[in-house]
Amino acid sequence: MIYVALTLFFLTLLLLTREFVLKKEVKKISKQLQLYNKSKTNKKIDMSLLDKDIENLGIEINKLMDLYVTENRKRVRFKNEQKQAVANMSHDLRTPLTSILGFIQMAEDDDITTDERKELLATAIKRAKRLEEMLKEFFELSIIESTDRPMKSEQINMRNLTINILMSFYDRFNDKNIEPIIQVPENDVFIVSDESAVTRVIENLFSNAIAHSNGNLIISLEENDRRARLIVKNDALSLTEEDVDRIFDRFYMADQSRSGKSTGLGLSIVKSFMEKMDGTITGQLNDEQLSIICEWETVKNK
Amino acid sequence: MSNLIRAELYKLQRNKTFWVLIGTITGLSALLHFLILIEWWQLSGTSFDSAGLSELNALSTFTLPLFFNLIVSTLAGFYISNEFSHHNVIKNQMISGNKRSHIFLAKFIVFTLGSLIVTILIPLVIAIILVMLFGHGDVLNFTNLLYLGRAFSLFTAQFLCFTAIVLLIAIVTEDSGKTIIFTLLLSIVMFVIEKFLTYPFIKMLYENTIFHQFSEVFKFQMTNGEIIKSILIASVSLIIIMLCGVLLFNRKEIK
Amino acid sequence: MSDFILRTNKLSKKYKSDFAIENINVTIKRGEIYGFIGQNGAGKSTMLRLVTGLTFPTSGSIELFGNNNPKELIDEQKRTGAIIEQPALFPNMTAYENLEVHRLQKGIPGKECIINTLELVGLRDTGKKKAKNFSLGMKQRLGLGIALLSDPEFLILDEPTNGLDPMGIVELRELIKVLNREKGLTVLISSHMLSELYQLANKFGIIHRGKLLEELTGKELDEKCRQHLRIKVDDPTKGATILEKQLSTTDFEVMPDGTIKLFNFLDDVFTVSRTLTSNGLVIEHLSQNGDSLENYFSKLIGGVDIV
Repeated sequence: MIYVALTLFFLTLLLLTREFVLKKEVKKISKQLQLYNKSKTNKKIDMSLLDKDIENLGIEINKLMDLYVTENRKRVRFKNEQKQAVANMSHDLRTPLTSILGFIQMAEDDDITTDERKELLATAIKRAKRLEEMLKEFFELSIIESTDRPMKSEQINMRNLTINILMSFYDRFNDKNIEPIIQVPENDVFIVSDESAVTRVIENLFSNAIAHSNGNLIISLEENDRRARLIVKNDALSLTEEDVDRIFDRFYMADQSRSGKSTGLGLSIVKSFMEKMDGTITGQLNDEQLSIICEWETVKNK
Repeated sequence: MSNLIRAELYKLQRNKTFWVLIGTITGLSALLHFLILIEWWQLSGTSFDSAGLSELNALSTFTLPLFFNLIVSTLAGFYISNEFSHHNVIKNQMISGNKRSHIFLAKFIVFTLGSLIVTILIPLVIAIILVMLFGHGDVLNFTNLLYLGRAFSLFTAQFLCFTAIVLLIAIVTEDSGKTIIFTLLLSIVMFVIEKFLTYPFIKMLYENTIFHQFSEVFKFQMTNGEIIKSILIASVSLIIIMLCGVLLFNRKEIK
Repeated sequence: MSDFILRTNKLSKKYKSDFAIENINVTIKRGEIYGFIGQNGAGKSTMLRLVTGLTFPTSGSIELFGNNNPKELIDEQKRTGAIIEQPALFPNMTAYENLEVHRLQKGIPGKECIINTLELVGLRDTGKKKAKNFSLGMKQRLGLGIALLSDPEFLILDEPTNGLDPMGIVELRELIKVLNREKGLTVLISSHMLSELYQLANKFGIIHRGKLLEELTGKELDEKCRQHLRIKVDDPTKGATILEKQLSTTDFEVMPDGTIKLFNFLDDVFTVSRTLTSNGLVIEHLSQNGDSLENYFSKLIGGVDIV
């Protein structure tokens, strides 16, 4: 009898302790959540790791927090980027505008010859055209990024498309004395995406390569593991790792010279398109050669 | 707090010294008990003798401060001090956002547990196993078990204070070698006081320390007053040492 | 939530009779990467030790996450991760086991965080290899992993590039940048070289002989360190045109106040001024600005030596 009573007593004691410990644990968690919800902290939940089930609860809460942080960061980054874009735009518009005005002012001068005046105006027009181009591209970029432009889903033969675009660039390669090395597979590569977007991506990559290459250019299309990869590789002597990080940023120009060759928006457009198409794009620097790699998922030809 | 204890246990389980000690003590105590049981080694006049438990005589070795301080200080040196000097991992623990007093307490609990296992549990269990194997199981009768229970419970209480002191030494010296040397010195000093100093005042002081209690608790006959005194000495010492430890640890500047 | 992650107020630490740091006031805001620059022995480590609570200030106070109650600082430490000097590892444990100790210590639910962290710092394939057999670079990365295990809001790194090869340094920078961008991690990172942190940090504190000499943003540093000619003429529009036409350069910027910043012709100021004046412009101001990073740094601390 006494043994039964003792057993019962200890059992009760054990259960009560357990109840107490678990309750304390739950209280601790809810207190941490309270602070989190009041935005007093961003700290994830910590706990006494005594009960497996409560630990699982903690894991799930922390996952939720991860999700929340990611979403929040996205929003903040988007906001910052927009602010930055506006600031950059006014910054990048000011210098060309100033010089356009300057050329026109000089052209207004009475003491210059007609030829000189013509030349000044021609330069002003050239500058203005570049400005126009930039605004156009900026507009395009904002349209791609706005959510309401739907992407089509059509089957595209990447091999044919790449070759077609290469043909159309023939003259421009010739003008700059570039003889690109071209590696395309023998069989067709199919992806499902928006043809006009893919075209724009490829065109922009080629234009960018032409603008920055000094002769060497390798364009290759390959397929493995159900991924189609388009690689455009050209010399980039002055580029550093830091630059490669930023080549997809808006208005980023590696040489910083604002020489008027490009607007700095081409690769941002490429990136936005790739993101919209659920593809990936990366830049890599190896042995002073910049490779830009675009990847899409391939499909079987129907 | 429970997390800190778990972390300490995790570390103890992966501490080489701890396993080496377990191995050594298991072997050593098996050997000693064996020698006693085959009566090759004869001890007399131990407290176990007077309790009629001469089969357990080898245990008196393990309950001697001069001997077990080596085990405890080795563990303290390689488990506690090394965290400060060698790998400096203590700083990670200090910046983990846990209260320093909790860290100290967790270390004490796990370190003491480790020491208890190596110094008391293993020799005792092996002794009992060997006694049974050699067919002397009948000496473990109710009275004797009661005696062993009382003696080792009180011994453990004193032992807690001892590990607290060693922990303190380990934290202050921050070096495994120094920890071992200082602990040994302490034990020797206490031994010398016990054997050779006869000034009544010092004797009176000594008789109220845990070091005296280490042998007192094995007396076959203890009055209730003596038991209470023993418990009091252990708990008061422990509280004082732990308070000093926490205070010291709280103010410690970590290199 | 407080926007200030760390604020110190007249923080001082005295060892015997010498001040290791004296009256330091730093302010680190949420989302910043704060580069703490000083020579060896300038007081960087002492400062970081104080912030992490390894030692205690002689005078002054520390505020973490807007909380300056000394008793509660320990709770705020839970929100930070740090490596102070060499990474502290258990030599007889694997990378996984090292992290498990810290997971238990911090009470982080789920072992997933260990795998994720190993992945993050690139130590996933170390398997049964013990930490004592790691290369210095791997040790550094494991140290970083320990600091990042609890997903802290504030990361403190003391000379983390020590012992890393150039590739490792680039990787570390990238990792910090990504965490800063994607999780909003605030970082305090110390170094004895300004140029090392220039690419990474967006705020700088320069410490010398225990005193904070200057605190400046990345922009302000750029301003001081990108060499350019500062030109102010009576008609900036015309000035810009002349630069472009006659000196055939477009490497300039027109600032909102009409100042032109020209980034070349740095060693040919004479040509610039002659060209501008010969076209009928009045030069109100023409000066060479900016300094190389290291020059700027040594001038700053050199200035103190003289005084």
